[in-house]
Formats: sequence, structure tokens, C-alpha cells
Amino acid sequence: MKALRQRERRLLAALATAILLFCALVLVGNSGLTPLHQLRALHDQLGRAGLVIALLMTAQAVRVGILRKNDVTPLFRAATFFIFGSMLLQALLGLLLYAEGLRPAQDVHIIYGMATVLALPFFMFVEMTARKRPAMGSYIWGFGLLAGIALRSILTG
Amino acid sequence: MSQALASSLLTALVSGIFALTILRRWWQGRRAHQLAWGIGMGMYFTGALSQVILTQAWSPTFFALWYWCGALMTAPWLGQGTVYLLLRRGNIARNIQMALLLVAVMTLPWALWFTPLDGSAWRPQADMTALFRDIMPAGSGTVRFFSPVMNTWGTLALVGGAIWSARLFRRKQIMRARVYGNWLIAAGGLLPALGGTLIRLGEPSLKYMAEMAGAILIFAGFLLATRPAPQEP
Repeated sequence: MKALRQRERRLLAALATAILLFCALVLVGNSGLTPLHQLRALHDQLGRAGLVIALLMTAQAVRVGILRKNDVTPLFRAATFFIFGSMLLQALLGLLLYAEGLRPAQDVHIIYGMATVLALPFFMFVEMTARKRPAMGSYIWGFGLLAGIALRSILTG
Repeated sequence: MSQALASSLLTALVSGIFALTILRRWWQGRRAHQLAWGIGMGMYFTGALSQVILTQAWSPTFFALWYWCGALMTAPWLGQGTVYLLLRRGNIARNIQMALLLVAVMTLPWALWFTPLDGSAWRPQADMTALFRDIMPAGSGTVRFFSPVMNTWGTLALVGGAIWSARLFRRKQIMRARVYGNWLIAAGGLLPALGGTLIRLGEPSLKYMAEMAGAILIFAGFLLATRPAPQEP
């Protein structure tokens, strides 16, 4: 894997800051609620953000992989790791809420929540072990499916 | 012993032996299509074994396994083997396999623990295909949504891929064994679907025979299609 250039490192730092800022804004915006319901708001908003980001990443993967016929860049791969991390955080929050007694509207929300965490690693594995390049198709699959699952997750949550 | 029980028992036996044979070949050669077919036959076996148990006693776990293996997983995994053989460009086949794995990981706990089942609709010696709509009514809480998608995809991949390969080898006038093997796979893939149609037409007794014949034909086709080509003199 090629090393990240300084500009790409800055972009990743900006992405990490944006995720943290997003979480802080949601918590501050719901400061009138109990801590448990603040976490619930964060869980909900991370899910919605996940849907939007998955759609944007699908569009970017299509642009790079299909229209330009280019391969995955280190920046794109690193961004995927960050998005996977935020999905994991979102699922862990859901698990915490469940343990604290809060329940989703439908039980299958738990299945969709688990799938939002698993969707990306399956395709990251294919891309990172691919002998045939370019391999951007894996991320078109991964983010496309993540968008569908995130939507179902929101509708059943 | 009822016909449903006897046929299911035989199907389980036949598909179990076939699954082990294909998986052993995969273990020796590590070819991806063999693993996919081995998993597909393993699902065939588990579905048939669950049907055997369900003719004798009600069990929510085996009903979930019967539905998950028979209605959701068998056709797509068998189809995945053909996809590996036909789609060699890029990583398409591996990506489809990952999508299939994701659906499998999602739907197994869904079928086992999150789908409401009505055990009172079960009757001894009954055909599960005729009863499953009463046991598992359609609704947003069930996995039934995935069934048409997975089966259509699996049957298209298995049967369509086999027919396409058979025609290709026939046109090129090469590897006659592969032509016959692929026709057998196509016929074997269609037979279980035909069994479902027979039930709707009021002839459920042939359904299990169709399932059993399907397993035998697919395996025979697999043996023929993967036989090494004769060496040029």
C-alpha cells in the first residue's frame, strides 16, 4: 500500500475532526435530554450520516472505478476505514442503548445494525487481497449495500 | 414410513455424500467454484435433513434451518459456483460471493430468532412447503422478503450459466463431457423449482422425488463438467 502524502493526511485529519465535531454537535444540540437519550440521538444521527456518506462514497467509487477506470487510492481506502469505524461506534451505541433497556421499533433493526458493521469489511477484504487490479468495484458493492442496509436500519429503528 | 419421509431421507443422504465429495475435492485443489458448490450441496443436505426431522416433530430451530437453507441459500451458493467459472474478469465473482455471505450472515439469526413462527399450524408427516405460509406468515418481520430475490438470482446463475456454458462448448465443438455435464446441472437446478410448481398444481407427492433427482443430476453434471480434458496426442 502506498504511503499517504501530506495533503491526504491533512484530509484524513479533517475527516476525523468532522466526525468528532458532528458527535459533539449532536450531543450539545440535545443537551436538554437525559444522557441516555442524548446517546440515542447520537446513534440515530450517526445512522443518518452513514446513509448520506455511503451514497456519496458509492458515487465517488462509480466515478473513479467505472467512469475513469482508475484504482483505489490510499486516501479512499483510509476514508473507508474511518467510515467503518463510525459504523462500529454507531452499532456499539445501539448495543449500549439495548443493554440500558431501550428497544428499536422492530426487532430486525438489530440485524440491520449488525449488517451495517459487517458490510464494509467483507468488500475491503476483497479489495485488499485482490490480485486483479483495478479493484474499485468492491467499494461500489460495499457502499451500495451499506446505503441500502442503512436505509432499512433507519426505517426499522 | 411416509413417502415424504423416505424421499427426504434419501435426498439428505445423497446430498450429504455429494457435499462431502465436492468439499474433499476443494480441500485438495482449493478451487473457489468447488467450495461454493460444496457449500450449496451442504445447504441442500441441511434443508433435506431438517425436512426429515420436521415430518416427525415440530422444532422452530429446524424449521428456521429448513427455510434458511432450502429457500434462501441453496440456489445462490450453487449458482455462485457457476459464477466463479463464468465471470473471470476482475473481482466480480468474489464481490458477489461477499454479498452472498453478507445476506447469509444477516438472514441466519433473523430466521432463527427474529421471525415469529406459529407452531400450531404444523402437522405430523406434512409437507413443509405446503405449510410454511401458515407457520411463517408474510410480513416485515420475516425473512421471506429475501426468498424471491435469492432464488431468482441463484436459479438464473446456476441454470442460465450452465445452459450458456453448454451452448458455448457445443458451438466450439470441444469438451463434449462439459456440454453434457452442464445440461445435467441445468436440469438438476430446474427440478426443485418444478417440484414447487407441482405442489401448486395439486401434485405434492412428486416434489420430494424432484428434489432428490435434482441433487443427483447436479452432482452427476458436476462430475462430468469438471472431468479433466483428454490430453492431445
